[in-house]
Amino acid sequence: MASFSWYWQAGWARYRGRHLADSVLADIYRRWPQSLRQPIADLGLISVDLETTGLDPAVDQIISIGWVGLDHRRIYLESARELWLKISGSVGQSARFHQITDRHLAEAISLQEALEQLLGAAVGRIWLFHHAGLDQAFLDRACQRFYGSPLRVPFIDTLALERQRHGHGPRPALRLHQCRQRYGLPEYRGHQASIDALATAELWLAWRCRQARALTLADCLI
Amino acid sequence: MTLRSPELAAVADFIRHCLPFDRLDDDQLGFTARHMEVTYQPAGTDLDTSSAPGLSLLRSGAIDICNDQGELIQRLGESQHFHLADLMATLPGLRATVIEDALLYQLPENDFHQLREQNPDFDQHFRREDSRKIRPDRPLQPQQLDPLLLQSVADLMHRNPVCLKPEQTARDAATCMDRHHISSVLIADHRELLGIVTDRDLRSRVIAADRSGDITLAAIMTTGLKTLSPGDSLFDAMLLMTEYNLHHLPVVDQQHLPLGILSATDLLHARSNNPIFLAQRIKHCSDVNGLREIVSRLPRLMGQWHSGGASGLQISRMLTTVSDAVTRRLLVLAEAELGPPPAAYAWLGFGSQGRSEQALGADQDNALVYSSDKDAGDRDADDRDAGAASYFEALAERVCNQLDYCGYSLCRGDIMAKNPRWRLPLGQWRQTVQRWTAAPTPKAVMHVSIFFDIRAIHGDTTLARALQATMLDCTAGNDIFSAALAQNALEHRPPLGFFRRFVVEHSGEHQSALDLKLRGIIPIVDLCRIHALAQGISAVNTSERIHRLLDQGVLTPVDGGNLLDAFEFICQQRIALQVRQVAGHRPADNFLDPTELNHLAREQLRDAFSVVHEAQQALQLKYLRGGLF
Repeated sequence: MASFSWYWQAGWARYRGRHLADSVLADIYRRWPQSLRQPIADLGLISVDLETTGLDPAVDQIISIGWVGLDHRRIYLESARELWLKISGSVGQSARFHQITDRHLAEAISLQEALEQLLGAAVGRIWLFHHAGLDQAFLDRACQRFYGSPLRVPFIDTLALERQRHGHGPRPALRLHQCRQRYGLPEYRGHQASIDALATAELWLAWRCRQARALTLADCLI
Repeated sequence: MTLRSPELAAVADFIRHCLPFDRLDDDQLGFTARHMEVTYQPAGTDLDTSSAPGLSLLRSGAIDICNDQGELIQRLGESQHFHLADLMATLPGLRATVIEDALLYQLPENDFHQLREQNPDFDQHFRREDSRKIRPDRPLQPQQLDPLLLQSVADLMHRNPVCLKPEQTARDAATCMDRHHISSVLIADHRELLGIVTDRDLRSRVIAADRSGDITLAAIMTTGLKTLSPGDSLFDAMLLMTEYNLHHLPVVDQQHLPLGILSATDLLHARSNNPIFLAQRIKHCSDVNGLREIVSRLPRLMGQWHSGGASGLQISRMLTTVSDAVTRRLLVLAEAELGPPPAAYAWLGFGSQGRSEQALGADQDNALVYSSDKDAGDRDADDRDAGAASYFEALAERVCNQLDYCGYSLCRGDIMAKNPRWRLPLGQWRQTVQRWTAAPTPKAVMHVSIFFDIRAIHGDTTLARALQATMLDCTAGNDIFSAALAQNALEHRPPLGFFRRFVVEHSGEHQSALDLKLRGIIPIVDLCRIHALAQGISAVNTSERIHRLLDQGVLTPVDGGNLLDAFEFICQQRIALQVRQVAGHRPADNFLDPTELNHLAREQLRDAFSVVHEAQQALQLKYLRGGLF
């Protein structure tokens, strides 16, 4: 079922790619993996995390975006980035939550600029999230706004993979740090986009190591 | 970390605290963090140079390095690093196996080399490591590698050596040596080293050869010198001296300019840092200031012994050897001044000194027992006893205060020979012991627990043995007393099963610290003491007690072995802690911050504590069954 929905999306995306004006989003759609049976070992990934002012993509705003590039064996810290975004109005409670400082506000860039950089880094790569739904919805909305087309990309969700791994047994704790604990991964201070992106990437490597066979892309998409 | 890359701050912060990355400046640290690659290796994986290229730093997990025989060479834990390709080149057949899921930060070979080129200090670490990295952790015994001989020449040489010019005379040289109290001078021209003249040369090449004191040094100096460089080890120096029968070696830099001089006597002096030689020096000290000076060097010496591979227990023994020797010397000096003692006596060491388990910062625990031939109604004996009492009072007062001056501070519980209650004739000691064991009030139990770790430091050992025999008579098979003692011993629990399975002290200045002595060492010592007393075992050293308990079948081989391991490990951690404290110019104590330990050591410490916990439960069953108290 998963594969079918992805296949459908892929077709749709190729269609969008042809009809989008020349933009980085169009590049994303054009540089799409050709087959679901492609070994994951051949693919590049990008682990992404967003920090937002709240949970509603229609109302709330993205505060920061962090990402890091990896392949099926290693994470390349050189590719790690963290961007801080200009937002309108008060960040309210989340300021304390996300430990925003004046420095961040001074370095802040526009949403469009940030999106451009993120998509640029993601061209030709498979997206990786922990709990993809929300982050995707925010990105989707931003793409719609600036490129007139939503972001429909194949993505790997470590939360979904972890849930699946435990099958029908007792429901495991699925927050990022709880999943990481199960693999003996160290504790990181949460709620900083780039650190969470790195933490998610590490979790995925740990998950991959536990898989008995060589994985294809389809094995990772749920 | 520069502001440009806040995303790596957490990584850089971790790296910053790992040796030798702490030597990098902020830019280099940023460079390192930026170029690191992260991999995850599950337990059971055998690493190879493709999975672990370049320099690997363990972010979490543990890795065992074994040689081709499968023997463990090194166990690496969090924040430790290794270079697999280099290791494999030095030791063919080596295996690196992940024993606990590992997250590795890997610095690619090119970046690693670039960093080494940029930072000589960082580079130096890996050069030094070249010669050491395959030194096994355990198998080598300390006597095989005298820590002293691994010290560098620069540590010991005399800097700014006295140099004379070749055209100066033998008389100048003699005058100069006399004035500076030295036995050789270097001959140099515009700082260029030409030769050396020793006092022996003046004897054999001037006086015995019937030459005038006006002869130039150029005519009598030894040329074609063997020299040392400051980085050579004392072992190198010793080899060179022995091989060429030399007594003085100039130390020169790369341009062959003289930096210093090292003599055979210097080496001999350095050897005196060994505890045995130290004890000899103590024996020849003529005043308390000399002793104080020796004691003040112990913290630094302890660091040397530790880095030389001595175990925690061995170091504790060495520290006790020194404090025994200091105590003995003070007593001998006191006797010389106060006159010969009027009766036979023994100076008793208690507590950690009695058990030969001292660490830094030990305070005094001592007592005095003397013989008394008093029979009922003997008036002369009464007088003699009064004389003896005042003599020993003066002796104890003086020695306790001098020990305090030397650095062994006065006992806060006043358990010292200067306290009249801890300075008694043998007969009264026996009565006291009988009273304590017959009615074990909490205070009596506490006294007894201190008092049973008894060792004669000086004087008539038969007195100490007689006293100990009385105590063992009163306690062997005395269930009520054993139960009281067990109750007392169970008051100090090892920190288990709470906050991250470590309980830290909740009050005072060491709020987040773990008291290794109170929570780890004392419980084991107490346990072993109780078992030993109940079995009438006279050994006082904790390891010896465990061995004897094993021999007698009181402890099973597994339990006894575990307890021994746990004790050794905790002592080792305590000494290592104190070495770190001394190196960081902090006062030495027993408070360990668990976050200072790597993951593996934390796990081991936790294991050690659970062994103690189980042993305490066994003790509770054995002596407190039926809810006696």
